[in-house]
Amino acid sequence: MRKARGIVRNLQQAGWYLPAGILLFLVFVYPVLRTLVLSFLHVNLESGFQPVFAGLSNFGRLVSDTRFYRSMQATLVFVSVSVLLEFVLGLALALALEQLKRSGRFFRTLLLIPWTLPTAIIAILWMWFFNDQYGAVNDLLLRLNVIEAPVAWLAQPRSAMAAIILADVWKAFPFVLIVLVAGIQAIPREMYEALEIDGGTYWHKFRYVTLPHLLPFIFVAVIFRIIQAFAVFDLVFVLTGGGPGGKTETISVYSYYTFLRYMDFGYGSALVLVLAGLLALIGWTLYTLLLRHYEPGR
Amino acid sequence: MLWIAAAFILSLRMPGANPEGALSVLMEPDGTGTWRMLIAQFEKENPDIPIQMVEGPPATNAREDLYAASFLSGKAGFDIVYCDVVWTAKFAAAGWLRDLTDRLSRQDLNDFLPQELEAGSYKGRVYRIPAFTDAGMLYYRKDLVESPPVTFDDLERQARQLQNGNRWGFLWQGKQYEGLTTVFLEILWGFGGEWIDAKTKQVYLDSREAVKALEFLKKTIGTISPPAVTSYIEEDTRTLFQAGRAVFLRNWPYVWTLVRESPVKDKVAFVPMVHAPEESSAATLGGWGFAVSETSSRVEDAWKFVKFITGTEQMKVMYERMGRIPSRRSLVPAEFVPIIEKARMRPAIPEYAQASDILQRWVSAALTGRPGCEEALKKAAEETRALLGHAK
Amino acid sequence: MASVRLVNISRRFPDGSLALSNVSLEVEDREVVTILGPSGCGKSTLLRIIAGLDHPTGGEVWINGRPAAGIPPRSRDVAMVFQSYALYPHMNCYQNLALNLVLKKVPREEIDRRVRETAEMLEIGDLLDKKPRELSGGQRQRIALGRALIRNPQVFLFDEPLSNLDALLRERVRHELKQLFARIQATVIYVTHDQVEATTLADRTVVLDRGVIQQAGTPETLYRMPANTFVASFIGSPAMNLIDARLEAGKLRIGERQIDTGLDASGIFRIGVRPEAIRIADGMPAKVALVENLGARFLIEARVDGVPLMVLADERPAADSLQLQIDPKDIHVFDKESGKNIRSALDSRRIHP
Repeated sequence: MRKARGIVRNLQQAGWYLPAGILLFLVFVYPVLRTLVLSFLHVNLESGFQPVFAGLSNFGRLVSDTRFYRSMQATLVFVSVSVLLEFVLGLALALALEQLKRSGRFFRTLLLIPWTLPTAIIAILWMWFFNDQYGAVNDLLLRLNVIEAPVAWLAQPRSAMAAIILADVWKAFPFVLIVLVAGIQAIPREMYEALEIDGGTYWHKFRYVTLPHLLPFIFVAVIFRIIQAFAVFDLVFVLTGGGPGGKTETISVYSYYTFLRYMDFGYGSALVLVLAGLLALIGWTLYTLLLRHYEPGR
Repeated sequence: MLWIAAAFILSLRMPGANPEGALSVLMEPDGTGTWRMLIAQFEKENPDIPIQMVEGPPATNAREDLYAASFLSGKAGFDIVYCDVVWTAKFAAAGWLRDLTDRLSRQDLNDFLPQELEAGSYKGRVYRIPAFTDAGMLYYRKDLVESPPVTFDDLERQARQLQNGNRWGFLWQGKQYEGLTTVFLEILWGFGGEWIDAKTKQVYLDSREAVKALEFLKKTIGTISPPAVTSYIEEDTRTLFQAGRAVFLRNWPYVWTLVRESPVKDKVAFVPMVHAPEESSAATLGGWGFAVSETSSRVEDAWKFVKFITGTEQMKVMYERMGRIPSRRSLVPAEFVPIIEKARMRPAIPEYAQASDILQRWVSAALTGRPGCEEALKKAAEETRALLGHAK
Repeated sequence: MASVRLVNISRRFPDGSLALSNVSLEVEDREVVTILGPSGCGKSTLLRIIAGLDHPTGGEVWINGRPAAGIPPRSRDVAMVFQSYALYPHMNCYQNLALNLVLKKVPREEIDRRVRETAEMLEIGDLLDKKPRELSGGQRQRIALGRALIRNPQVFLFDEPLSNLDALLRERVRHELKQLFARIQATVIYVTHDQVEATTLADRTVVLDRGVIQQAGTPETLYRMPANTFVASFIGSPAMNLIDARLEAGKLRIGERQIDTGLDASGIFRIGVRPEAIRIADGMPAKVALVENLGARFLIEARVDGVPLMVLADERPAADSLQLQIDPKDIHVFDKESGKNIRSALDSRRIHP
């Protein structure tokens, strides 16, 4: 009797979780499971979209796919350079704006604008900026005498990658900035005063108070940016389409092509799975590296 | 991640089953209003078949992806497909297009341009009815050029002579995208080379002709073509040419309408693309047509519309109002006949998108970077063979 | 060690509020001075001004005979213990203690020696490898203390160092601090809102209210001769009885009885009597309204002709009524308007010759 009542209560409790559980299943578990299943199948034009069991052959093909390696390389270059720049710029400006106090709030809002714009719009904007004939970038550099003749930014692999990175940094560093500003504001004033009395200089304040307190915030900002940067799509798609020579094709652009243009769902799923696995690995590594010595919350 | 995005896109999907029972079609942005006008005309003649036109993005591959996403969702999507030449094989192979072979009259079969008909066919069956045709051609400044070039050497020599600090010799589309494939093919064919034999699936990209073609293109960069040419698409080159900043321009017929309203309006003429001395000129065939979706529940109504919109009178309107070259032999304007005659189709294979991507990537790589032309084409050939062999 | 002299210190915040007004104070070498006041009275601001973390808008700070204006905190040779302890969370206790010496580029061997010495003195040797978050509140407090001690500064500044501890621990640490102050013979300025802390630890206590010094003196002086009603009610527990009453030629009338205060004054005054100064003996008849058991003693709310008086007694009253006796010298008389003790000039001479 009592046991039966317990079960009823458990069921009632479970009922409360049901809507959230269904939502989670639909938007997260189901797509992941489906991708997992697809990666072990051939589902493509050739098979007429009829699933054929493929074993590990999709993954085998991945191992010998030079385009996969190249896109991975492009992705890693993009992610490491852009996230590093966003971090340095975001941190520097967060520290600077904190000094400005009240007017800092105004600049902070101003700097946040790029973050609020849709990436596709930003990509089109920067495509015009980078235009070799009429673009603002060349115009500015010519006026400043940095370059002697217009640079064809999107026409060469290296400068095209630099252009994509620049556009991404412009859009995303405000995110890092705002997270770090929040972190800086959470630091107790007494920490700085204690160090000031102890004889600390500005550098010491940064080294012994600001940085250790910011670590969890830095972790959050950087891991967010890394995940987002890994999935970069719009910028590349609009600015270069992956060119020249496929040198700016990131893994997400390659996945998109594989799914929607080549209609190879089995192989595309394998690509996406590898990307997800890599992200999990990077997240875990960063977590252990950055936060092992400092747990947030206390 | 992508799946979530895809599922989201699909859930927001276009009209599909709309309440009025209209037939739906995804089109390009209707800047001139011509499509709306033609549809209104059709609806007037067929009051029981309303048409709902969705204006898609201007980029053709974006519309290709939208169609694909719509078909993949499995539900009834668009009834009518406004279809580029290079999609037909893929869409037909996927089973998304209805076989229209037996609906064509003998008269139509004779009138449509044979290349356009073939480009609309897959495995001998017709899936797409051509509406207008496209072919690459060479525009030049007749106020500067005395006699238009015939060979690659002519083009290069004249370009060098006539260019100056404010004016480049030769503009083409060099960004890594479908346009690069079409440009490269014209050069390749002009040197007597070939890309893929659609029937045997043989790949010829590592031939000597292909190397010559790529070397020719590469040599133009920075000499007679601007360094940024490897980032240009059609509109970039057209804008520069119309501003009087180039002597030669490789582009499509649509430029002819626009250039006549530009600062260089009376100074431009065109000829077929140049070629090697022993060979003949070639143009990459483009063009659009209409097909009936396999998932449509109203095939007869859809066919009525396709038949209407590809009719003689409608093609005339398209030419007059949009500069689109009719795909009926009887209607091709005289000045375009020499161009259209040279037009050759890109291989009608289901794996076309992937094959073209391989070509673009390696050609673009050779144009902008380290791999030599020979090496790049060898790699491209290997990859293409692997792709087509893999497909069996 | 050193002296600290504050001359007419004022501090007006940018929003216009006046945190300190004409505060003058002299802290002798090796003197322990506590600054007592309710929250918002300006006591922390005063401490921060001495440390150099804040700057007065008027007046001067002298440390060891030299003006401190323009000298940054790190050069003032003062150590401060914060209410929140302000320990560096990512460093272990050893590093927390050592940081100041590291920044001063003291040789490593000496740093090690001094850390060990300090740790031994505070009995925190076993905590040195731990990080602040692994410590209890009392342990953290000791580390914060150690961080100040290790520097051997001219002046120690304490900003409510015990207020984050629970009551029991606070009492123990207070006791230890008292012993420590005696041992290190240092100049200490100690800010608190707790009158017990203020009076037990100090050689001298300064009572601050609304940015103005109300009274400065030994704890005994403050207790026996409060300068005004604020000090009178702030010092001593249970709080002093304060009632309005009439004096006629120095005679205070309570109920039927008259008590001669020995003052030559007439009119309405504010009269103060400490609960412990009222004895249960033959005298004024009173009714018992309420009895509170304080453990060792009893706090009785008595009513004399309806006038409530708190009385501290050794025993619970046997009946509902009792008789009270007040020694005239235990009666404090304050001006009704200004709150000033009108007897202080006279009596302070008598009590402290």
